[in-house]
Amino acid sequence: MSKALLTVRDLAVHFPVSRGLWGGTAMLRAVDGVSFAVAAGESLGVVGESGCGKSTLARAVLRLIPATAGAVIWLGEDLAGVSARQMRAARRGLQIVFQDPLASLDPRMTIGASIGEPLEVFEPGLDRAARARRVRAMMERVGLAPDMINRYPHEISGGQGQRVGIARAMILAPKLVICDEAVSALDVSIQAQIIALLRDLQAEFGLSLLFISHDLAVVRQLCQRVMVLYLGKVMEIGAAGAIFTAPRHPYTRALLAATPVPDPLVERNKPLAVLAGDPPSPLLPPSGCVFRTRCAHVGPRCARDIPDLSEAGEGRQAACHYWRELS
Amino acid sequence: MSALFRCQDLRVCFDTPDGEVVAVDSLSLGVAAGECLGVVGESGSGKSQSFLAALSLLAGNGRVTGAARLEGENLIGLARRRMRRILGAKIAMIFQNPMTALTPHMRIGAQLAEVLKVHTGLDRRQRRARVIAALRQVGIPEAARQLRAWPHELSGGMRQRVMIAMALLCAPRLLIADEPTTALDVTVQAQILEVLRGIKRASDMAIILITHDFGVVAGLCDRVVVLYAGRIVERGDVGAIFADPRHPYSRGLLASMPRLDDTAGAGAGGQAIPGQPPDPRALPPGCAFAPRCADCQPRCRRERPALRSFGEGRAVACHLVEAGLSP
Repeated sequence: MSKALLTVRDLAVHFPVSRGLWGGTAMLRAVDGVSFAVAAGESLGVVGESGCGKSTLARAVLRLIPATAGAVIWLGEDLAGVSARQMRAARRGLQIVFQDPLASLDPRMTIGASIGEPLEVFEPGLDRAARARRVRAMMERVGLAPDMINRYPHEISGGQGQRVGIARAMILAPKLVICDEAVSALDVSIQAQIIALLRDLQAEFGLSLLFISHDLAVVRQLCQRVMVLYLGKVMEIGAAGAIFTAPRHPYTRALLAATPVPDPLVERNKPLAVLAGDPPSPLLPPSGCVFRTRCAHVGPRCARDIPDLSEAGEGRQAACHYWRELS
Repeated sequence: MSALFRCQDLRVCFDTPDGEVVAVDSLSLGVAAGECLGVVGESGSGKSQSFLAALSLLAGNGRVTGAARLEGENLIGLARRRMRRILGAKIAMIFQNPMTALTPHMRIGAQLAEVLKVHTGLDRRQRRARVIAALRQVGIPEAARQLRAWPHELSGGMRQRVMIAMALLCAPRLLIADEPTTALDVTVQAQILEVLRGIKRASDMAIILITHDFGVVAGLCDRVVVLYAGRIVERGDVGAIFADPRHPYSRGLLASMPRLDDTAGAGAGGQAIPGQPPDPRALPPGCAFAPRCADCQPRCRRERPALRSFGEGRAVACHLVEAGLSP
């Protein structure tokens, strides 16, 4: 891998869950042994269904929640061991944009104040006028009209709110931005605007993205590499082109087959490959491969051995005992 | 085409502190038995309110004029008692969030049986048999055992299946599905769409599918109506709308959909429509889409275009298309 900005190694986040008065506690393995790296200027898409651990992963990388095990190496330094002050410094280069922009903004702060707040924290030496200049320049860059600087969050639309969220994340010129379902709540026509904006920012500033989304079609438009999660584990990871055109893992195949294509000719002629059932409870994950209870190609090893991520060609790795037989 | 259900000049407005807000205007559409009509639009386009209004389910400050006829009988202004005989028996509706549509303190079996108690003269044993048959029809495993389940014990996909089973109990003439898969994971969405396709194959029920997702429309619908700011901007057969969208908004919306089969990969596709939908409290005097339209002419800002028929079920509300100026 060309020099990695962020390297995550065997990251695990387990939550103790009370099982009632006499049940004791069980461990919910939200993220379980996840490893990946993001290079400078690269965008890595993280896909999977609800409960697969993608948001927990984002929060653990930023240390917004503690990791149970594993390492998060940011610019060569393991963030697990650093002091609160060092963590704060690291966050300057490592920002996040959330799904619901209007909920993640302080309702009592103007748009301008919200965007400028990171500057107050990280560049306290900056005077008021200089800060306002930076805020205005960033607002222009993300496509917010200058007169919005004094508006409040309740006065703006969801798309504008997401532009504010992006401006606030970008104002410190970070190296990596984590987008946690950042376009999921938006209408399609607005979603395309925000995707285009992220793509432009990425090209202009050499920004890296960790783009978390349940929507594979959106990830396809934005990401060079993709990681597929299921029940806290990586099923497949690698180059987006390889994964989207020739998926190796049965779960990746099922996800791709289930995603509707806005074209009746494609949609009505595609082979029916509906995945049965729901994901199992993360409190009682299946033995061996966690996907085996919904997999159409279960073999004798699947219940017994946990499959490791192994090279599956074209710059991608898959965690399946039988991917060779399937392709 | 003899329509089973037909709306004529439906107009829905709400009294708000800011004055009267028109949510739906001049809406006319029909759906025949055995047909699936897709109603596509973004938030605030009036796609849900139109049908809530037709079924007398509007919020207290809402008013509706026009006609909505089921088999010739106008539902607008119908006596409450008569409406109750129709809802659930001749027309059934399913919603985005099945958890809020199910009663949390009633077991699934009792909840479904109640529908039959109200609308049919079946005895207890017959009701139970009919409920089990409906649950089987929507692919619920061990249907007899699930009668004892509480809504909270079911997954989102299972709850939506229960809602569909409930809708099917009295074999209605018309099923209105309002974003039935929007809250579901993509693999579960594929399952629910397959259930709806099965209903379509097995009966001559008419289905109105309200959605923001052209991908869902592509796999299920025969005809499509595109709404923008409370009005129909285009309607036609599903093949024609996808292959040759005429209204600039339909074209923009289709072009902004991210596509999984977009082989160009990262950095491609997703042409955004600039700007945002108009504020329904302050609709522009001319075409509501004019401020966002790349081909806008002076006439578009002055005069509201009427929905003009172009033969073969295709109709478009655009001055440019009417004048033959648009591609």
